[in-house]
Amino acid sequence: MIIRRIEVENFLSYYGKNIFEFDVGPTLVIGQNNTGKSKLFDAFNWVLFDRSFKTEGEKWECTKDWGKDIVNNLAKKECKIGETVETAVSILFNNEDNKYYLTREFQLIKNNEKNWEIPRNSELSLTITESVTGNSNNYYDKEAEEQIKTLFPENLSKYFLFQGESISQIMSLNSRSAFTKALTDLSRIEVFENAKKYTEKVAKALKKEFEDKEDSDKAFQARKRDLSKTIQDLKKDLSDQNDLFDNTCNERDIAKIVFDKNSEELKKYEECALILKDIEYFDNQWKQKNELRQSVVDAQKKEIFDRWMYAGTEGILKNFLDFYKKNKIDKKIPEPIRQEFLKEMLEEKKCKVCFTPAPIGSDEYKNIQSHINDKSLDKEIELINQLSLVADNMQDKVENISSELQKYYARIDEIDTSIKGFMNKKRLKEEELKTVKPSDVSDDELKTKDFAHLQRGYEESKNDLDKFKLLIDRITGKREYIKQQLEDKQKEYDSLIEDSSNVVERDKYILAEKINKSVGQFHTVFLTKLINDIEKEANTYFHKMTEKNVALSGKVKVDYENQEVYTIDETDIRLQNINQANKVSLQIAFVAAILSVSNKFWNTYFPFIADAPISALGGNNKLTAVETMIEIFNQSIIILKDDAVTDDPDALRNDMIRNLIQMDNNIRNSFELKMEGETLDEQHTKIIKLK
Amino acid sequence: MAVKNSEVMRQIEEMLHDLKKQDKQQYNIILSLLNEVFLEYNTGKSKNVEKKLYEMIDAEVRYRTQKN
Repeated sequence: MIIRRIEVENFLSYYGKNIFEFDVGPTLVIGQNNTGKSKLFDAFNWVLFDRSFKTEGEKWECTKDWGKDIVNNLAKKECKIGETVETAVSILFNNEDNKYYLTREFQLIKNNEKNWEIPRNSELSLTITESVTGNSNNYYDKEAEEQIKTLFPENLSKYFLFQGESISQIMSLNSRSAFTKALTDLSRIEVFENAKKYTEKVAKALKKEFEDKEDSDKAFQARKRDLSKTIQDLKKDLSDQNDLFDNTCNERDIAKIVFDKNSEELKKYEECALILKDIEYFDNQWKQKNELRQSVVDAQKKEIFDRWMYAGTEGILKNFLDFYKKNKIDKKIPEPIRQEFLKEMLEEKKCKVCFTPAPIGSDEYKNIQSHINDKSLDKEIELINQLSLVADNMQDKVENISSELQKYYARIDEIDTSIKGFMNKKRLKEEELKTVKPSDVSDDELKTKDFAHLQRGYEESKNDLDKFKLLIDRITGKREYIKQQLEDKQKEYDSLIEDSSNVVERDKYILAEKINKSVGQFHTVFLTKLINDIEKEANTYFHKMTEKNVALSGKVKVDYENQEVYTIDETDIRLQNINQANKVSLQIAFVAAILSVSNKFWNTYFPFIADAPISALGGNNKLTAVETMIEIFNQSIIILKDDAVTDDPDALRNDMIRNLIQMDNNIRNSFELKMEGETLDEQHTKIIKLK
Repeated sequence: MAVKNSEVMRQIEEMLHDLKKQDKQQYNIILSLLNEVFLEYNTGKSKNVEKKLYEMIDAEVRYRTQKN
C-alpha cells in the first residue's frame, strides 16, 4: 500500500487547500514548534478514523467533540455571514491494483460573528478505481468505513500511525499484556490460534464420540474409561497449573510495575536524599559553630570588658606600687603594733617605741593602754597590704591584656573560619541538588519527602517480586511433572485403543488428534520463526540506532517464554539498568521489527506515518533512529521537530537533518512547515517543498 | 490477504513440507482448514470451520475404511 497524496483543506492550522505528494520510500516533514507538524499527523488520523489529538485535554477527540474548532481560524474569519466554510482532508493511495480516494468533509454555516451552525457531522466518501478496467465504485459513510477498516485496521493504527511521545503507552517491554498485544496485533498470529482452537474442539468431540460408544470387550471398555478419566484429570490439573502460572505471572507483572516504580522513585530521590543529608549536616555544623561563637563571646565578654576597663591604668598602678614600696622601705608606712608588745610595755611601764617611762596612771600609761584591743592600726595595715595585692593583680592582668585579646580573637577567627567553611559547603551542596533534583519536583515536595518510607517501599516491593519469582519456579516444576505423567498415560491409552472394536470412531479420533498435534506444532513453528525473525530485525534496528553511543548497548532478546523484551550482553546475561534512551530505542526497534516482519509475511506493507518518533530519544540515538526508520519501511512519512537554534546537546540539529534530506537519495520528498500570519486568528501553516 | 497471498502460502508450504511427504491426506485437510480460517479472519464472517473440519475427517476415515 502506498499513499500518494494528502490534501488538507481548512483543517486546524491549514488554511485553504494544501497538498503533500508522497512516493515509495521515505518522506521527511520538518518544522519548528507550532508550525502544523502534528496537525498533519492529525489530518491522517481524522480522514481515516475521525479523530484528532486535542492538546488541551491530551486526548483523541472525534469531530463531534471538536465542533467548530476543527475548522481553520482564518477560514472562519474570512467566511461571510450566511455562508458556509468547508473543512476536508483527502488521501489518495494505491493498494494492489486499485486506486483509493478517501475524503472526510465537515461544514460550518456562519449565522453571525459569534454563532456557527453545524448542519451535520463529518461525512466520509471513498472512491475505488480499478487500475486495469478504470471502473469506479463509490462508498459513503458506514460503507466507506467498512472498506477502510479492512485496509487500515484501527487496532493496528497506533503502530503504523506512530506517535513518538506515546511509545511507553503502547509498548511497555516488561509487561506480558503489552508484549502479547503487540505481537498478536501485528503478527496476526490469532489466525493460527483460531485454527488451533478448531482442531482442539473437533479432536475433543471425536474423542467423546469414540469413548461414548461401548466396546464389545467390557474389560477393555472399563480400562479405556479409566485411562481416559486419568488423562482428563491430568489435563485438568495441567490446565489449572497453566491458569495459576498465568495468574501468578500477571501478579508478578503488577509487582514488577510497583517495583520498577518504587525503584525509579527511590533512584530519583536517592541522590537528592544523600545531598540533602549533607546539607542538613553542614547546616547543623554551621549552627553549632555559631552557638559556640556566641558562648565564647559571652564567656569572655565580662573578662574582656574588665580588661578594657583597666586598659591604660598600667602607669597609675606602677606609681602606686612604687610609692607604696618606697614608703615601706623608708618605714613611712607603720608596721602593725602587736597586742603582746603593748602588754609588754604596760608590764614594763615604759613605751618601747620612744622609751618614755609610763608609770601606772600616767598619761603615757593611759596612752599605751588605749591601744589595747584597738584594731585600727591592724586594719589600716591590712587595707594597705590588700591594696598592694590588688594593685599587683591588676598589674598582672593589665600586662596580659594584649596576649589574652590575641588569644580571644584567634579563637573567634578559628570559629568564624569554620562557620564560613560549613556555609560554603552547604551552598555547594545546594547547587548540586539543583542539578540532580527531578524537574517535576518542587523544593517543598523534596523537603517533605519521606526517604525512609521510599526505601521501605522499595524493599517491600522487591520482596514481593522475589516471592512471585519463587512461586513461578515452583509452578513450572509442577507443570513439568504433570506433563510427563500425561505423556505416559497418553502413550498407554494410544497403545490400548489399537485393539478397539470401534474402528471408525477410533480412527476419526486418532486422525483428529494427529491434525490437532500438527496444527499445534505448526503454530509453535510459526511462532518460533516469527520470534526469531523479529529478534533478528529488532537487533539490526537497535544496533543501528545505538551504534554511535560510546557505551555498548548489548543485543536484543525477545523472550517469548517470559513475554519480555530486554537486552543481553555477550554471554547472554540480561543487562540491568538500561538507560532511558536505549530503552526507548529498544521499544521502537521491537515495534518496528514486528511491523516489518508482519508486513513481509502478510505482504501488507502498511505505510509508516510517524509524528515526532524520536522525541523520547537521547541526542546520539536521534539521527541514527531516523536513518534506521527510513530504511525499514516500504513507505514512511516521518514528521520531525526541527531544532533550528538550540544549545540542547540532546536536540536533533537543523543542519544534521537538512544534510540527511539532501544527501540521502532514498528521500524523494521532503517538506518544511512554517507559520504565516500576523495575528493569532490569521496564523496558518505554510508548506515549503525542500525536495 | 490469505489464499492469494503467495508469501503466506510459501511459508505455510515450507512449514508443512514434511507432513506433505508423510501423510498427504492430513496435509490436505490442514491446508483446507487454514484456508477457511484465513477467509474467516479476512471477512470477519463465520465459515463454520469446525463443522467443515469434522466432515473432512469423517469423509477421510470412511474413505480409508472402505478402501481397506
